[in-house]
Amino acid sequence: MTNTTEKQAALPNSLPRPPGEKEELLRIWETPSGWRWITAVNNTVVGLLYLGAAFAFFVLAGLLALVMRTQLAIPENDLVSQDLYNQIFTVHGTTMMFLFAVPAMEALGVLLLPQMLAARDLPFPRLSAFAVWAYIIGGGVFFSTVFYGLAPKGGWFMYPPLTLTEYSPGDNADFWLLGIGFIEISAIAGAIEIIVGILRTRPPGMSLDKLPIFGWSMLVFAGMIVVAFPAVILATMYLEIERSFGWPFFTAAQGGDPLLWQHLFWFFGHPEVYIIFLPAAGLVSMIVPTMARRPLIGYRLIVVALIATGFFSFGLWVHHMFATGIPSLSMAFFSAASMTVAVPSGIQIFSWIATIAAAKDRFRLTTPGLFVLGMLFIFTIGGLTGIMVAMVPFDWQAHDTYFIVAHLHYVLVGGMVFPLFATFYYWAPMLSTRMLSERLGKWCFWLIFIGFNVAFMPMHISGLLGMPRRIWTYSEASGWGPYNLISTLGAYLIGAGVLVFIVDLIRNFRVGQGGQLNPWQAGTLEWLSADLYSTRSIPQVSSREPLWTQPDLSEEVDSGQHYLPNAPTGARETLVTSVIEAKPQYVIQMPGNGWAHVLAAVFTAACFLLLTIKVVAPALVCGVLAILCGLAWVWELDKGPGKGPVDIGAGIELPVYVSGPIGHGWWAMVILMVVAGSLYLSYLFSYLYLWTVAPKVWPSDAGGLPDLKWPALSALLFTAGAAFFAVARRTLPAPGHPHLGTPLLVLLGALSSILAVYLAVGCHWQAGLRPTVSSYGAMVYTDGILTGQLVFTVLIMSLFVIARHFTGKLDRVRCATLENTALLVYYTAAQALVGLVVIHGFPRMIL
Amino acid sequence: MMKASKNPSSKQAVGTVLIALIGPLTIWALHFSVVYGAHHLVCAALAGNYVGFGMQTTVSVATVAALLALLLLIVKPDVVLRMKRDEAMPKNSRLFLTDVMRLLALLSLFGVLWAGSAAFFFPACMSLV
Repeated sequence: MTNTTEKQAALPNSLPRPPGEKEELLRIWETPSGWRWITAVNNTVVGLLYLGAAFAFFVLAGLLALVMRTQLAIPENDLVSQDLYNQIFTVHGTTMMFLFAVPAMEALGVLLLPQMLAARDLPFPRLSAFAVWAYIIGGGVFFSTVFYGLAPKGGWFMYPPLTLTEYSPGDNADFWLLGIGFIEISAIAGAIEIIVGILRTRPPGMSLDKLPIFGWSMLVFAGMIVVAFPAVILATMYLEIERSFGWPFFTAAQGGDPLLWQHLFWFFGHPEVYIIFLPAAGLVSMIVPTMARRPLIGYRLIVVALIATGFFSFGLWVHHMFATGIPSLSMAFFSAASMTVAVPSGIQIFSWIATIAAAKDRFRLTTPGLFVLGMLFIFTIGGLTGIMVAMVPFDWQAHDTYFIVAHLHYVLVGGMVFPLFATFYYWAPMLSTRMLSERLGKWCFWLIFIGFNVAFMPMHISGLLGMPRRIWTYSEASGWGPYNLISTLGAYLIGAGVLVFIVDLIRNFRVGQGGQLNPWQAGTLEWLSADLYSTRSIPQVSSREPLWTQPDLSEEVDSGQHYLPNAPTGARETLVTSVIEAKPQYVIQMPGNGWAHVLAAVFTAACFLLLTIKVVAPALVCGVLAILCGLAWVWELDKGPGKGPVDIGAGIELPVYVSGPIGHGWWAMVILMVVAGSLYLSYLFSYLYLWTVAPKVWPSDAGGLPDLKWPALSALLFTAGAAFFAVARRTLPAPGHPHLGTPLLVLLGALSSILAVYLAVGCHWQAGLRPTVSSYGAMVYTDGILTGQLVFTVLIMSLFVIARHFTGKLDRVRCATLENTALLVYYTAAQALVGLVVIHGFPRMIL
Repeated sequence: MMKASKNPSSKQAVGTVLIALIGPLTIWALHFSVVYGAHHLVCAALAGNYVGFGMQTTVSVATVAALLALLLLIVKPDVVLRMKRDEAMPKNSRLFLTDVMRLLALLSLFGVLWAGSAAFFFPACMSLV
C-alpha cells in the first residue's frame, strides 16, 4: 500500500464518492432566483445582505456627520437649524451604534463563522434571516425619520427628563424607543444563533483550545448581548410606558428618578463599546497571524483577555455618571473597574505587537495589514484617553466636552471601523471572484487614517478649551474656530477614503463561488474550497491552523473525504458536536428557504412602527399576523426522527433527532431564559433603586397592601402550572398512540399560570393601588407586565404543543416542542415566585 | 459501528466549561455587586458615625472572601475543576481549561483587590464636592 493510499484509508470517507452526490448538495442548497431571493436562509446570502445593509447605514450616518462638521466648520454658522442639528446628531449616534456597529459584527458572525467552523450553516438559519429582515425594515424606517422632521432629538442616549413627553412632545422620541427596542430584539436573536453555533457546530477535533480567536470573540460578544441588551430594553419599556401612559418611573415629583435611566442605559451602553470592539479584536487576531505568517503569540492569554474584558466591561457603567453627584466611594469602585479593564485590553495589544514583531520574514504591509497597524495606533490612543477619563477629577474637567467626543471616536473607529475595513479587504476573496484592489486599498487606508487623525485629534484640544459636545454653533470669541475647521477638513478626507472604498467595491467585487483559493496563505478553515453548501465535507481538525498543518486538507474536503460529504436525509443538514472536544453527536435537519420568517419580520416591524404613531388596532392585527407567521415557521422545525441514524463517515452513525439538553433547541431556550433573567434582574435593580431614592412613596402601613392570601394563592397556581407541565412530559404517549392526558395537562398548566398572573396583579388593583400615582405603583404593575408577557408566550406555545399533539407530531420520542415549552414554564414560575416575594415581602419588611 | 458520544458527558462538559470560563469572573462580579449594592443601600438606609465603619467592614469581609475564593482557584484548580476524573477528556483540553481559569482568577484577583481597597481611602457616603 502506498503512503497516499494509506492516508486516504485513514480519512473518514474513501474515494470515489458516488456520482451525483455533489450535484444533489448543490440542488439542496441552491439560492432561489429572482424575487424569491428574499426567502433565502443560506448564511452566505443572509450574511452578505446583513453586512451590506450595515455598511449602507454606516455611509448614511457618515453623511450626517459631514453635515454636522460643515455646520461646525466656522463660528456662528446657520447651515442647518438647531432643531435639525439635534435630530442629526441623535440619528448619527443612534445609527452608528445600533444600526451599524452591532449589526455589522453580527453580520460577520453569520457570514464568517460557518466557514471558519466548516459548518454547512449555523443551527438556526431562519432566525438569522428573520433578524436581518427585521433590522433592515425597522432600521430603514427609523433612519428615514430624519428626512421628515420626526427623528428623535435627545442624543443617542436619550436622557430623561429631556425625553419625557413634557419636554419632547410628538412622536420623535417614540421612534427611538420602539424602533431601537425592536432592533435590540433582532440583535438578541442573532446572538442566540451565534452562541449555539460556536459551541455546537464546530468540526470534529476542533476542541475549545483550537477554536479560532474570532470564534472566541463572537462567543463573548453574543454572551454580552444576551446579558446587556435586556437592561436597555427594560429602560425603553419604562420610558415608552411613561410617555404613553404616565407611569412615573423617571418623574422625581412622583418618586421616580431620571438617573434610573442612566443606570440602565449605561449598564447596556458601556458594555456596548466592548460588544463592538471584541469581535473586531477577534478579526485582528485572525489577520495578524496570516500577515505575519506565524501562529498568534499568546492564544490562551487572548482568550482570557476576551472573556475578562467582556466581564469587566459590565462593572464600568457608572463611570458615565461621575458628574451626577454620587458618593466618592461608589465612584472609586467604578474608577477601579474602568482601569482594570485596561489590563486585558493591553494583553491583546501586546500579543498583536509580539506576533507582528516575530513575523516570519517581515509583517506583510498589505491593505488589511495597514488597517491593522492603523487600528493599533488609533485604538491605543483612545484607550489611553479612556484611562484619563476613568480618573474622576479629570472626568469632571472633560465631562460632556469635545474631549469625550474625540475619545469615543478614537476607541470606536480605531477599535471597530479600522478592523472592519481590514476585514473587507482580507475576506473579500472568500466571497468574490475578484480581489479588491491593493492600490485603491492603500489610498483608502491613508485617506481614512490621515483624515481621522486630522478630524479627531484637534477635538481633544477644543474639548479641553471647554467646547461642549452636541453644541449647534458657537461664538468666534470662544477661539474654537480653527480647531473645528481642521476637524471638518479631516472629516471630508475620511469621506473621500470611504468613497475610494466604494469605488473599489463597485469595480472589483463580484459575488460568485469565491476567487483565488487562499490568496493570503492563511491557516484557518474559511479558506477551504467552498460552495453554496459551505464545504463539501466537514473536516477532521487537529490544530489551530489546519491549512498550515494539513496541506492536502482543501483537496480532501473538496473531494468529500471527510465527514458528511452528502445529504443523507435529502435536505439541508449540519453536524452537531460536543462542547469541549467537538466529538460528533448528531445531525441537525435544517430548514430551507421560506416565506414565514420574512413575513414574521415584516409584520413585527409593522406592529412596532404602527404602535409608535399610535395606530393601535392595525398594530395589533400586525402583531397577531406576526405570531401566526412565527408559528408557521416553527411548525416545520421539529422534523422528528423519521429519517433514522445516518452514516457520516469513519463508521460513525449519528441520530438525526435528539431532545433534551443535548439538542440545539434546548440550548436556544436556555439562552432565552438567560435573556429573560437579565431583564428581570434589571427590574429588581430598578425596584430597589427607586426605593432608595424615594422610600416615602412605598407603602407606609400594612393597610395599603393586599392580603397575603392572594399572593400565596398565586404562588400555588404558578407552582401547579409548572407541575402540570412536568407531569405532561412524563405522560407523553408512545408514537402512534395519542391520548388526551398530555394536551389536557398542558392546557391546565397554561391556564393555571394565567390565573396566577391575574391574581397577582388584580389584588393590587383591588387594594386601590394605581400605576400612575407613584413610582411604587408603576414598579408593582411592571412586575405584572414582565411575568404576564412570559405567561402570554407560554399560552401561545401551549396551544402550539396541543396542536402538535392532535396532528400526531408529539410523542415520547418526538418531544422537543414540549420540552422547550416546559423549560419556559419552569422559568416563568421561578421568576413569578421571586416577584411575589419581592412585591409582597419587601414593603412589609421595611414597614 | 461507532456511536455518537452520550448525553451525560455533555452535561458534565457544560458544567466544566462554565466553571472554567466564567467561574473566576463571577466571583469578581459578585464582589463588585456586594460592595456597590451594600454601599448604595447602607448610605440610603443608615445614618451616623457607624456608617463608615460598617462600610469598611462590609467591603473588607467581602474582599477577603473573594480573594480567598480566587486564590483557591489559582492554587488548587482541581478542587473545583474535577476534570481528572473525566478520563475521556484529552490532556490538552484539561490544561487549556485549567490555565484559562487560573489566568482569569489572577485578573479577577487584581480587580477585587483594587475595588476593595477603595474603602480605606474614601469617606463612606460623601460626595467629593
